Amino acid sequence: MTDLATIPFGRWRRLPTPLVVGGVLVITLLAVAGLAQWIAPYPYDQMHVRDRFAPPGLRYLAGTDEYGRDVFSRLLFGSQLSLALGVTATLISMGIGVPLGLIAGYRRGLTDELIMRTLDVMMAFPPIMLVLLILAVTPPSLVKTSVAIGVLAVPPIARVTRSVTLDLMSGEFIEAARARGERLRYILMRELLPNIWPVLMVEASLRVVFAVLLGAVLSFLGFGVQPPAADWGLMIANGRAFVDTAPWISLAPGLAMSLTVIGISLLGDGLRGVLDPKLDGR
Amino acid sequence: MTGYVVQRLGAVLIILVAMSILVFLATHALPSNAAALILGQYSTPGMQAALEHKLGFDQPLHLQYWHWASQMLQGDMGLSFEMERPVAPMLWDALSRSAVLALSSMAVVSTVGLALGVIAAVWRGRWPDHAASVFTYLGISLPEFYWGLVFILVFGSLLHLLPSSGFVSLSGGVGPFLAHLIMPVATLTLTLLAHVARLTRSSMVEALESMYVRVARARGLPERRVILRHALRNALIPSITVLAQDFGFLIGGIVAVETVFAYPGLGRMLVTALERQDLPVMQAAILVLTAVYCVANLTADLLYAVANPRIRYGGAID
Amino acid sequence: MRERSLQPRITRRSALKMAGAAALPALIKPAFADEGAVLRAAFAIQPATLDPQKMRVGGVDYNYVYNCFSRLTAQDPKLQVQPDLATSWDAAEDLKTWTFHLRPGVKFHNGKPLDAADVVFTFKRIQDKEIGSVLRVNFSIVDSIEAVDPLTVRFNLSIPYADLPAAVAAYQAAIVSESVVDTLTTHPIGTGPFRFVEYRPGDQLVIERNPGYFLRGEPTLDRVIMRIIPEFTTSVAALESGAVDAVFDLPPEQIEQLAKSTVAHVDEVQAGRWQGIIWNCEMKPFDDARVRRAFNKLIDKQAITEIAMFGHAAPTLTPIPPFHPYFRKDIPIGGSDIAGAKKLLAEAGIPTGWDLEMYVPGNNPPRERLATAFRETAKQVGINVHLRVAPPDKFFAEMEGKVRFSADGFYGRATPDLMVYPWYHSTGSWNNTLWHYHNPEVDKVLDAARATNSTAEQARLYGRFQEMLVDDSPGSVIYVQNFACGVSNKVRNLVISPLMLMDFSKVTLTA
Repeated sequence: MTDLATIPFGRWRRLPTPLVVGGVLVITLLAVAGLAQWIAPYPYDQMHVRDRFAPPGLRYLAGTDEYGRDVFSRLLFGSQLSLALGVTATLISMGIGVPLGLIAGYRRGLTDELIMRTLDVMMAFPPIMLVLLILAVTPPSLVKTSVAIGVLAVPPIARVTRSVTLDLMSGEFIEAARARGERLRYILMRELLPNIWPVLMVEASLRVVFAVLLGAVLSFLGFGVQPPAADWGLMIANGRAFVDTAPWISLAPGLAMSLTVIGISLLGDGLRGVLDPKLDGR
Repeated sequence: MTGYVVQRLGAVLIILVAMSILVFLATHALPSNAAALILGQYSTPGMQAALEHKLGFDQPLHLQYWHWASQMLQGDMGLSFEMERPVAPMLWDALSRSAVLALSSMAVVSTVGLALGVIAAVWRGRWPDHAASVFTYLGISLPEFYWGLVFILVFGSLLHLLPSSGFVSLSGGVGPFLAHLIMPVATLTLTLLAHVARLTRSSMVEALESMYVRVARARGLPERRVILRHALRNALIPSITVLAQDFGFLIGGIVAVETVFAYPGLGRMLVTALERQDLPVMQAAILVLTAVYCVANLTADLLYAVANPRIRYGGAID
Repeated sequence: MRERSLQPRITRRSALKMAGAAALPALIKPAFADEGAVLRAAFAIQPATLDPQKMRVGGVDYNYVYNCFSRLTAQDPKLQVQPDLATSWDAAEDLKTWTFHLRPGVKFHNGKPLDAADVVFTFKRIQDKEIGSVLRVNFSIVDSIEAVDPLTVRFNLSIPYADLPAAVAAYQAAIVSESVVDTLTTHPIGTGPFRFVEYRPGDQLVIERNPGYFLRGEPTLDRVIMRIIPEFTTSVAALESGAVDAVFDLPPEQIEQLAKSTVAHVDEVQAGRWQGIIWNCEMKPFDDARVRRAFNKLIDKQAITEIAMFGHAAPTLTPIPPFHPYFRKDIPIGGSDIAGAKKLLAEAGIPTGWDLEMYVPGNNPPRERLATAFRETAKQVGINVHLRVAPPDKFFAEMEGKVRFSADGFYGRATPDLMVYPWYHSTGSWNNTLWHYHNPEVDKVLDAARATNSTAEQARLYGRFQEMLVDDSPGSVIYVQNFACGVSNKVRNLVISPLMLMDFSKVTLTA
């Protein structure tokens, strides 16, 4: 495992294709999400009743839906929701999982046992059950969905963090830091974390994808965000009734989601290739 | 080995107990007034109180839990609030149908996934590798329900090749039974394939470059035999673990797929119960699904222990 | 579809004629030689209960009961009252005592003969608070029911009531027998043309021909399989591939699609099922008539109907549908008077930028579109509507009647009295659940209308009622939805009724 900065320049020049494609896709996605307010031709909820079910064309790039809303504009705004869900959920799981993994790996012994066994219990719960239960019991909201999905992903993040920490603990620089009498906080934050984060980036990309897809399933089952939100999962769910007569309503968000997921996955895979030369070509 | 099994079984039991408490508390945190739900909109508070008493909802929580858990252990899952019929027989029926779906999907996922992984590893960097990679990426890039809808459109509405929904038991004929399974199984397979295929590929790559494979090659064994007997056997172990993990995803995926294909399994039963706030069905379905999940994980762990790589690696070079 | 749908297309009589004509090919070539003639119909929502008196949700529930049980009377697709278990009935001069004469020789599916005691038991069961039947309020006017002799039942009412023969045709008034009431939820026994075979939750409910049915020659099918298919995309695909023969209650988004099919068609009738917006007249600010009127001016019923139902519905004033003879065609439907609405809201002191939560029972795309369309309209007067879509059962249990503002909808009822009394009379059960609207003038008109036997007088009274409601605006009934079913071209004589029922008893199948 290597820090990004320490990778020889030559390896950056031979960037693997997945990383480039993934990077371009993800940067586009970020740009779209950030600029949606300015680049979207119409507000996401504006109805043009006379132009309902208009096919894709110059006026409406990706056609209109059953209310005459511009599908393209909704796609742009939808990227914000998907990203918000994916990123919030991942930040939550990293925020909880990384410290847990660091502590477990650093302290070992009883602390380790306690943390890891608790996480085992959590992992024994089928992922979707927990989210479904929470969303069925209480009114759905984006925040709640993000938190639920985020909490679900704590155990895998903690596990990865712990195993990398265990690897690093045998390294000399930790010994050196200990010998210098550095405090635990310093060792964890300054010595361990910078060495772990490349691996975490890869894991995080997986988690974002997982959150986006699970969010779509929840929307489909009717436990997701509220209409008229331009949520991709919700758009697919509503558009599926018109799939014969106006396929663009459900196909366009499907395409957007799939590009997002592929982009993030490729980026993650590519990063792994660069960060871990051992894994090159795998 | 025996000690390990006992320890793992103990862990599963503890997890199940923890889970049952969690399910019980979560469903009891429901803001819904269960009695009002059962009695409908014309009920009076008095009637609701009487029913709550009858259902034992006015007792202390731990007593309620004890009562519920001991009934569960005896296989009595109570009466569905809404349908007023016993939950257990409905649930076992639904579970058996879900099991058919899950096991056939797992069978397809493991064979196709391993095959794809092996092919990609053997021809790594060349077109079969890229093709397998694109295929698996496509599969995971969209949620199950989307592929389900696409399949229904193409094979049901457009081509009229396959029945788009429902379930036919084996007694209704082998042909119809299989025909109804194809699309749900294909959907679940598509979304699970990537995981197994990619892992098999990377462990195969590692195995193919390992010492013992080189030794085997050097001894002049045919390449086919080297790949299947030596490399794959060792690459299988991580794949088994990942397959067990996939079983968890499968349980999640089954909920959506059963809804899309109107497949009368446990996943759909759970979604309906959640929508209708049918407490006993909800509790029983979640608990049973969790138990299945735990058992799957346990099986995977035991398999992994049995096929411990270190032991195997030693013996592989015969 | 819309032109053809102005009237129910198949009347009882033409249906009978067609049944005769279609019987011959059906005899020569049954659809499935081995298992007899089987009709498979798709329903989106699985039954909540098999107990007729406890049913609350239409769909499989009502349709299975309609085909497996009988009621005292039946309503044909034109909503005219016809004999069923009762062959005739008569009322005393004061409309307070009604006598029904039962058909002799009727047997339950288990062979037990039907008699007056079963009828008395059924209505006592409906009146029983413990059972919690939604029909209980309708029969709260019944003081006593007695079996005069084994074939005669007498109802003694507390008030004069002209519509009793229609009231006893209600979905939940299916006659059950006390001897088998314990197995109603697992193995229901009735007297209808079909008998119950099995129900697999989430999968299918199967009924088969009752060879001992009291009408000779019916039913013509051997079996009906009512399949549960929650996704209409799936069920319409199944219809087009021949896996099912009929799809119950197509949502408007599927109607256009199926209209192009070569193997199936859409049967559509105007029905009384309505959807609308509910505001609680006792909660602020809807206790102020100006706010209610402002909302009434704002809501463009024509536009919302188009958005929500794609034209497969008719804008209306009250639950009395536009195709009913008592409907006041001269009162404008109104709406989209933004300036007028703004003025009234300002007078009532409603600030712009007001946030209003609107609760919507989900799993119903038209209702969600209705709410979404309203949200867009409300923006124009500076009201921010936040939609809260909830699972229907949760909505009905926890939110309906408890929240300030919501979208809702109800099945049509058979007579004007049943359509409006429970919703608008001060004592009405639905009124006290939904909008809490109390107007002594409206009460007076509704009480007078149910006590008169004269059609002209009823028309005048219900006309006045519609006028008063438009002025006072307790909630907004936006449209009545058509009832449309997808039917395979090989199915003949499937009678669909505006009461959201499929009558399977005369169906024949061609190859």
